[in-house]
Amino acid sequence: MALAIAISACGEKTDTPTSATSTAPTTILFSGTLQPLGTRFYSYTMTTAGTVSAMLASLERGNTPATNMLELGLGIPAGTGCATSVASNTNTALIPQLSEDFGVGTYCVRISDKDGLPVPMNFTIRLVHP
Amino acid sequence: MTLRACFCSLVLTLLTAIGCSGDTPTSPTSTTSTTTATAASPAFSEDFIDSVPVTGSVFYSFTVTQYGTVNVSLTSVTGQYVPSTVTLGLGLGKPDAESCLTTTNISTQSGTGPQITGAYEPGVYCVKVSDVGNLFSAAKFAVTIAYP
Repeated sequence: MALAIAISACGEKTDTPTSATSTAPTTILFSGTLQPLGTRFYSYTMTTAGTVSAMLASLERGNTPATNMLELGLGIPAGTGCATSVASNTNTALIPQLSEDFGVGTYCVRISDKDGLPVPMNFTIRLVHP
Repeated sequence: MTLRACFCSLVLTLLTAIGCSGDTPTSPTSTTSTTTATAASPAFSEDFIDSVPVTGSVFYSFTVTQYGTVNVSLTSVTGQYVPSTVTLGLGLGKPDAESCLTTTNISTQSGTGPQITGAYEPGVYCVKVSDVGNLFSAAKFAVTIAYP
């Protein structure tokens, strides 16, 4: 019995349980007006490495949805613009058109009109990063 | 309980006490080593030549790949109705959203410079040139950015 008590007494030292922490992803809505043959970009900083997804969520001519193709890209701010490392010609969709892994650092998402929009249009990009 | 059993129990209790006393925390000792990083000298240079509108600002991004000295020099300001001695805003910071979020800001005239200098960690930075209320028309300017 004494032995049992002894073991029990020594067993009071317990380790504190550790749990893995997961950070919720950050969602950015980048909205603006894109001029014909124009370019806009938006810079953001990642403190955790992981997958970035970008989606051209909407493009409107006035209040009317438009189907024009635009170039959506991800990259690093450089000079007076955003130097993209991955890009895609796309129109609006409800799923990400771009998805790429990036390390910790400062990055940018860029939207460009290469074909020439008939008029300035309003856009919204949905960007999700760790 | 027999005398023998009692004696064994006493010995066991003493051993337990000694065993548990081994858990007594000892004062942690730490060895601190201080390393002083040497800032690398500028090895690259970029020219930011643009025009700043009245009440406006423009910025330029660049990437520092190693800890070192960054020098920013506003070397010239020109333009119609713009005296070369006009004071502009000059800032250094990080690209954020659609602008440059500056952590160092000065108002300066053009000169050989550098007007801003400091040691910076690797990362993406930006230089912002802005009108601080002195312009009556757009000013063309030249900024030289030197970084490691």
